[in-house]
Amino acid sequence: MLLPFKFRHFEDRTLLTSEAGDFLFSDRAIVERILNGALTTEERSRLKQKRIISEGDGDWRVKSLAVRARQITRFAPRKINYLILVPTLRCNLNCSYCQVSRVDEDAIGFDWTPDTLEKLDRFFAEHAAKKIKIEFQGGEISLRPDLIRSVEKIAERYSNSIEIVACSNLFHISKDFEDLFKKENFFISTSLDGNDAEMMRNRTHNLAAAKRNIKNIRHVLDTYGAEKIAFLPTITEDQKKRPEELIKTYFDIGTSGIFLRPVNFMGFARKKHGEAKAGFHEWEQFYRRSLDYIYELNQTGYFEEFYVADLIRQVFGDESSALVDFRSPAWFLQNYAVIDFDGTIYPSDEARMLTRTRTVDLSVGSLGSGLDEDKIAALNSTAIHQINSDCMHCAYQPYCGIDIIDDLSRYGRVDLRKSDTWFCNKQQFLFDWVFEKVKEKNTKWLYIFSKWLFRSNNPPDNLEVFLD
Amino acid sequence: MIELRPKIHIGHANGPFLVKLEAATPEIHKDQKQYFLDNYVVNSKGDLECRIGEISFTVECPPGDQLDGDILLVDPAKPRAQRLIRRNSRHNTFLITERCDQLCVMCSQPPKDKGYSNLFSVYEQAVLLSDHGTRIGISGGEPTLHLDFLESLLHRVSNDRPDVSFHILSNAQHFSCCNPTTLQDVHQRIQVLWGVPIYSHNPDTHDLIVGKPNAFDEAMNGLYFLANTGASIELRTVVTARNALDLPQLSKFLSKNAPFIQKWAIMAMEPIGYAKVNRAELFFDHSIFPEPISAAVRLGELYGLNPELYNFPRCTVPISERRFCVDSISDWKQKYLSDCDFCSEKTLCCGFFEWYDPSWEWKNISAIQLE
Repeated sequence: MLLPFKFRHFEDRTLLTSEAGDFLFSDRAIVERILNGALTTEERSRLKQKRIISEGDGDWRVKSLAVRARQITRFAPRKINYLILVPTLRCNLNCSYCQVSRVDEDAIGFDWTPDTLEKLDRFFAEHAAKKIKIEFQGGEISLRPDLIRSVEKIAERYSNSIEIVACSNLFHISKDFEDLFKKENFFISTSLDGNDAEMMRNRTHNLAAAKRNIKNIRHVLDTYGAEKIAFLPTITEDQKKRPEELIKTYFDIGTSGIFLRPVNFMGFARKKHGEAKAGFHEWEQFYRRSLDYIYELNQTGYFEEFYVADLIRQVFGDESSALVDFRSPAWFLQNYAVIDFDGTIYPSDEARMLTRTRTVDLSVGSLGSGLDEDKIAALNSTAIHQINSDCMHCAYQPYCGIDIIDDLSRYGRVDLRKSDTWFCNKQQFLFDWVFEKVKEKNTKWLYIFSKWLFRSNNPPDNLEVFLD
Repeated sequence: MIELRPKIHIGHANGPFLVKLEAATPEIHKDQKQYFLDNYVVNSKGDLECRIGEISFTVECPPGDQLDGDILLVDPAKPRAQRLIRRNSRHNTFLITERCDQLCVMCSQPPKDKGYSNLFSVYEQAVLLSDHGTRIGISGGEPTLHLDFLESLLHRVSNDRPDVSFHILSNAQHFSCCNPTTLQDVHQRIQVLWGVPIYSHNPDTHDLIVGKPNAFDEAMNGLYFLANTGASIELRTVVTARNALDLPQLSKFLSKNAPFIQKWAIMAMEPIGYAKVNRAELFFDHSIFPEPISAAVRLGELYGLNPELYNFPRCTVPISERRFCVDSISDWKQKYLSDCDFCSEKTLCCGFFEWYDPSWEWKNISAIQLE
């Protein structure tokens, strides 16, 4: 009995994937042989191993696929375990790509009030998971360290494992803010766009301030260690032409990798970085060049690009990704929520930005009025690639996710042919890039994949798991 | 080696009987009184002089051993008794039959045309007499060739002795006509760990090793049957030269196709039986080529399969993978080499099978010194 399978032609070979992500390469005529019943005994046996052919309905392969389908689609109650909070919209920097429509440091009426905290308590009571990660976005949260403390107090009443991440520009570290750094469950995420000249251009607009910014980052690293702080770059058009410098900055500072996210086509970024429209191929060039350089760095040390490393852990490690890019169904408001400075609730930070730029209102309720379940259900109906007419034919569907917020931000609609979208093109490019290494049995790259899979500089030498 | 058949001296008796070497106390239920001793003394040689009703007998205590609390099957017609359950052991195993429908190339106890159905009622009674929290191994041959007895044993014990747990070794070939309700019921009440062998992700390799066409698919079907009854499952993979290179792929296969297992035991061959006969084509020296095993356990860990290395002396495994080694060799067939006296990890180590000898020699064996 033939089970559902998908295929993708490479130059000389064809990749087959099963419903559950088993994969194999064969010659380009394999699909015809499957459909014409012209397989050799050996091929049949191999396809049975990969859950593409079964021995009938009662076969374990059918059951195993059913188990997986049930895992993916089963109902799970809403438990928010990743909560993004924006207690203030005020900020002490004015970055060229800022996506949040920040307001000036001394503006009034853009901070949470005691009333907001009271309502937040009710939100926690209803929706918080026992184990929760709370990320403070901004605005600039270091202007209000007191609110971090207040929120943690609330969280402690409903969750027993709490991790706090403060996204701060580290432009100015007050004593009150720094006191938090000593807490074991407290971490910082900050922007690092390169050297001081780069930081000046994108962020501080004057060199002395940029130098101070970098000095503060150094201070955190030296005093609290590399585990305390994570970095996120925003890559502008200018940097795309020479990614090595930026990557080297990250490598030298001792982090385990870099997240090469392109400038989102949103918020302030849209006004000043019109180049983000310029298209996918340019980004592809940049990405390839970056990966080539990361390859070099891995000859001596450990360094990953988080996005592709996550993809590799998903394909070869069976690890479920936290990124919506690799999740489907990607139910909204299931594990993840964003609460803005005014108490409005959003399904993601990008959704918040799209609403603030008046592209489309993606708010799904507020702390005062509760969640808008109808709207969440409407959004959810688009968040399953398994029933999308384009995705269901794609060989990468078992590993891929779905991101309609990205589609909305770029095209203002969710019903474009997926293969015409930036998201889909980016995913296809990355999956192709990975599976080409598998097809070519490129052991040098596969060894680096193995490092990323095991998150170790000394993974097993044996690379069988990457081969079909 | 531990003596499982101690010598016995007995006068007249009306045929075989079951006895627990323990004096009866008032708390014992009247139905069970008949299996306990009326009294016993330990004589100067350490042997047990026992009296039960009309019958008197002496059990010779093997040197350095203890018999107190053991459950014995005594046949007056034979010079030795059978120790069915030893109080001081975690390795009490009942053989259900010597017959098997598979013929594994490395089988350590090659099947014979011999059954033990005459002992089934004795087995059941012995379990009911066992100490609190006893763990019983069920093995063969293939125990599920007598699925009816197995189900009734598990059913009875799960009702009367929920403190007892089982470890059943089965090839999982015989569940296709089985009704899942009995086992579902059993698995809710008592701990039963089913040890099922899978030797490769490649059905042809597996079938070749177990000597039975279509065995792989049947075993996978059996695993899904067991999983569906809420069973705890331990997959067992014996490493031979025929499947050693498949292990990393098998790890990936199990993560995708049997994610419900509790444990994955990767086992070094026991050098006895067919393993020894077929040494030329089966012997695999992981001590000089550990790579596939290292990769398999590390992948298994990544996939949450809880991999463990059974029968792998610690010095034969790379340092980074030693934490997977388990002290797995049953006490009665375990030994250490003279080198082991100088090893700092001897107490953690499984050691060697009694039958390990120069004809089956791993190259890299050396006492591990403290860092």
